[in-house]
Amino acid sequence: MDATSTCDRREDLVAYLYGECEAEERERIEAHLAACERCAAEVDGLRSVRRSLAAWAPPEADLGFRIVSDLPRREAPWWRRVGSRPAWGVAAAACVAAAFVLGVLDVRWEGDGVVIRLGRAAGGGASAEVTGPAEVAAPAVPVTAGAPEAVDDVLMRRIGTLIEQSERRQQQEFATRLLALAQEFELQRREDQMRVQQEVGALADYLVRVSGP
Amino acid sequence: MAITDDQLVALAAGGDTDAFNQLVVRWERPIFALAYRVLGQEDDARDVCQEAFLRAFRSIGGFKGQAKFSSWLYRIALNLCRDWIRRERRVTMVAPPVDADTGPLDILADPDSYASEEAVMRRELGRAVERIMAGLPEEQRTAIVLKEYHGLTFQEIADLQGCPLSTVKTRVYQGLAALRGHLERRGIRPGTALPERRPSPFSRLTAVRDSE
Ligand SMILES: [Zn+2]
Repeated sequence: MDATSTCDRREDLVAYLYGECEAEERERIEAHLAACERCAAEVDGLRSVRRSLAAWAPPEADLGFRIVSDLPRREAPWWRRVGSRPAWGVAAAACVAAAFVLGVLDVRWEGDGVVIRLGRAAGGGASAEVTGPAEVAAPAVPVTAGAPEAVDDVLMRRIGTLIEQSERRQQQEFATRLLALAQEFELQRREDQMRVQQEVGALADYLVRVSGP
Repeated sequence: MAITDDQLVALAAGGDTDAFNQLVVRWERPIFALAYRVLGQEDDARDVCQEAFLRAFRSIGGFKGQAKFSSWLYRIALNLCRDWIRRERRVTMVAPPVDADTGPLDILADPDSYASEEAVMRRELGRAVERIMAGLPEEQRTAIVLKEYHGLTFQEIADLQGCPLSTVKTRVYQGLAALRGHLERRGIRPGTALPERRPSPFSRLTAVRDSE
């Protein structure tokens, strides 16, 4: 074994210093250190530096980072999802359900079909027509050529019963749907916010680079 | 049995934010410490740490466990550190020259006084190390930090630094040798940098009484 090559191989001493060499290699180096004062002093010096390094502690920083959003990361953005999952359809259905529950639908026979208006006639105020003839409620209503008044009464009673029967279920469904809708919009809002922050950060970085020397 | 990083990663990749936050709790201190020792600035280290976790969170779905989660996180954090250093080179350049500092390190070389003020000495020594480390080339500093404070193997460091194993060992050796030279010039002889022999209880008592 040649002593000079060991003296020259500082990499080996470093591996030995950190206990990262095979047993055989360790024995070889220890034998050399016992014989070579220069290398022994070198290892002592490095050990001393390691003890000094132990005195360097990072400051007690207030960390506590937490990811607070629950973003649907792998989903397409909402504007691309609307086609396959009709968010606005859900919204419309939710509004109709709400109108039923709140009793603000004005349903009446108007000669050529059923017209549903928002805002019950009792309120007397402006009513917004939301659907054309017959499409919304007609399937449940036998439209006959009877007197308009009578049909109107039958229709109202029928719908009143339907509303009563399904009120609880609709309220639950409405609540669920509104909740889902609200969550979806909230998530999107957060995602947009994050993206805006990133853009602003990137812009700031760019400005720093640009304004640098 | 405690849940492993790998298990938490799998949950987080499936959209479990709480699982990811558990990983944050586990790793925020080491990542902050890494960034702090590489950058030397507390605020910047905090920013890098936060950004590292945000990036990890965004791309955890693509992390297939080809490496340890911690190695992956270290890589993200080190890349951010490198970007930061490139951007802030001017600031790094104006850091106080290591040897111009005339801090009260004489206390370290005087065996009688250091025995009574271990805590003060340790803090001063820590500051000295910090200043000297800041003056080392970035590759040497990072290699030493990863080895000394994070216990990575030389091979892991080589993977992170993208260099041969032997280069990492050389970087660590050169960095340690430079540190040794600076410390010795400041009067810290090898073997006395930290008190290996404890002062007797009586000398400690005397020291406390004297200081009151
Ligand atoms: Zn030798």
